[in-house]
Amino acid sequence: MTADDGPPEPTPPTTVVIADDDADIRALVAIAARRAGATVEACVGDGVQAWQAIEQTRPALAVLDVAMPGLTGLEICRLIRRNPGLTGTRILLLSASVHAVAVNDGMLAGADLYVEKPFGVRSLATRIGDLLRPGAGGP
Amino acid sequence: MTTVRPRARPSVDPGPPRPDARLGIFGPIRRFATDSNSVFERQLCTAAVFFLAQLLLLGPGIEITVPTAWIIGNLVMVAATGAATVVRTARIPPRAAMVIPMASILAVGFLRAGTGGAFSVYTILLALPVMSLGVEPGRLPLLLGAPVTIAALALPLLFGAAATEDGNWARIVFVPIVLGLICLSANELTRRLRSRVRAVRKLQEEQASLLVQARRSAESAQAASNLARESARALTGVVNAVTEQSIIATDETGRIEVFNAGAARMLKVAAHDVLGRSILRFHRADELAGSGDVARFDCLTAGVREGTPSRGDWTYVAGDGTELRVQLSVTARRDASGGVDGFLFVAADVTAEREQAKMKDEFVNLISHELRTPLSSILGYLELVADDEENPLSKEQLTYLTVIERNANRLLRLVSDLLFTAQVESGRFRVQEQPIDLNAVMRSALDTARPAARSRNVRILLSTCAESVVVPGDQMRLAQAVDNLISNALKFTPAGGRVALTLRADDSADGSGGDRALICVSDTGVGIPADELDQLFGRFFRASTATKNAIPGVGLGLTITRAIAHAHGGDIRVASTLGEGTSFTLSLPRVRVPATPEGVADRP
Repeated sequence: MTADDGPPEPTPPTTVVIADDDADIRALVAIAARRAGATVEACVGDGVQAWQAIEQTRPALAVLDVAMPGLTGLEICRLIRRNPGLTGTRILLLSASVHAVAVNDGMLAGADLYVEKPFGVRSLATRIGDLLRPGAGGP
Repeated sequence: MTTVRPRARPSVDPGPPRPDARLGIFGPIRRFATDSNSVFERQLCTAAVFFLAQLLLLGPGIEITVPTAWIIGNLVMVAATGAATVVRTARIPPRAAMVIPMASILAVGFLRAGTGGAFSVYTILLALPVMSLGVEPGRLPLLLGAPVTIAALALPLLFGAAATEDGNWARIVFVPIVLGLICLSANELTRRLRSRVRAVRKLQEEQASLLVQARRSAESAQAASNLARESARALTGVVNAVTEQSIIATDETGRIEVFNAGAARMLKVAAHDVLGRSILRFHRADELAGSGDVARFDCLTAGVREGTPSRGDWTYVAGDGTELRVQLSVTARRDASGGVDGFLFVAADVTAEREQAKMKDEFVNLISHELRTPLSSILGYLELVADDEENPLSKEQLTYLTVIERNANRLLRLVSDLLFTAQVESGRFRVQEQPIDLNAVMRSALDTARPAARSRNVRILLSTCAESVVVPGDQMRLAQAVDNLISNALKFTPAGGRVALTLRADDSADGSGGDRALICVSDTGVGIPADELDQLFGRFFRASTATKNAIPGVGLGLTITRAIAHAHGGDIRVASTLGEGTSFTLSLPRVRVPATPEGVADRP
């Protein structure tokens, strides 16, 4: 969130875009996000839709699955970090892969947090809450 | 007659040709001059001249003046010739044969005395026996010949001639001197001739033996060259029979010298098109660090020159531009003195294998992803149901949910373990090293294990180290290894038993970096049969005590634990007594924590 944002209707600070190709996981993440007090702006199943939603809504947080059709979570991650209009967007990557290398790649791509599947709803809600809390360490 | 070679050689070997055969009529003359055994021939010659010369007595002018002396002379000559015949056959020493010419001198002396003494025409006949004596080897014949000649010349005095008469004295002195000089010349000439003949004969013998040697070495050289040609042909045949591997030999700078049939087949070019060219044409430039052919070739042969053969995966670019993945072994070719004079590149096409391995990896990743995703949903929604405060579940329903959750977690662990072993197998498991305090790992493992221990009524005891024990490692994996060992110990220990966890630091005596951390997990369980101990860490192996007691598991825990130990540069050992218990010791290289000032003070 930049101080000189022009638009009259400022984006609510707790909007979330969720992207995962598995509908059940998407719904689960959405529940966790709502429990953390966030508003789910979009809940989509592929990378291209996710990127469109992120560009349009400029959410406070993007929860992205690493392996998705269209664009992968890592690719979207890099797009967000390269886009000056999205400097305030936090990124949480979700992955079923447990390779240490994968975690490293995610962090290098600019993610704020890397969460492995399976995850507990309660703990995910806590982590989302932490990321959305104002003053939490920015990217 | 004496042969040049006294000892007959076997008839099969003709040996060097006999000199006589080539000399023709000069043979006897040569023998006359040089052969010390030819005294008979010389005597025969002297006697023949001696007797023929006396035919002159039949003519006018020459008369027998002293018949006694004349008769003695002829008798002595006959006796000497007879003696020469005996000498020839009886093989008496050559020196003794000198007597014969000396007798002949005397015979001539008597003839001279009998046919006019100082005026006799036969004085000149003295030359013959004197020559005969002169050709005898050595100076002794001369020394003996001189007084005999003087005596022979003095004989007329014996038969009444006055010493002073008609210059008798002059003859007695002068003729022996002349004859002596002739004799000396003959002696010297024959000596030279004899030594030359000896040298020639020696040369001939040497030549003959050289000839034999040369013939022999020519034969062995021929055999060696045949052998070398044969082995070169065999080697070429073998190298070319290798059609599944590419064998390329280069010189020191990478120019191709040998290109076998396998290489031609793999790289789709003919040998004659590439011989003398650089091997780099078959490599992708981006795989070889450095710019310029020299640097690239050095990259390909790094370490090989120093004696470490290199082996690794590379991409070969075939003549038609297609690429293939090869496993390439590079070794140095060395000359007789051990210096590197080239390199040998043996490559096997592993494109299909690498593709398969990649597919297997992808498959395992896909499966694990596909299994983990539904498990994530199951566990996530279970949590939602169990935590739903608005619609609380009955106690019984909660118990059912716990069972579902436990089993979902079990499935999840299995998937993780399979994925992990696949990673280890493909060599992709790498430890992300961080300093880890094992005391904390052990305490956390104890906390994790406590509920299970309580439910199985097994006492679990922990003994940590007073000082911190730090290893460079992966926290999660080390915890997993310790958890595996504890969970095994609990599973195999009957109710009422004990499981002891011990952590200790094993310092190397000299502090040279051999320090280790030892994690020991011992139980009072059922134990493992001794003959199964070495299979214990194999994938999917289950001890007979496990199957007999229906203890659940798939046989991956210890495989994973050992893989983690190895990845940390450590190892794991097991000791077990059937019916008494088992003890696993995980040993990890540790780093010494920099000593605090107090610590330094503690250690003088």
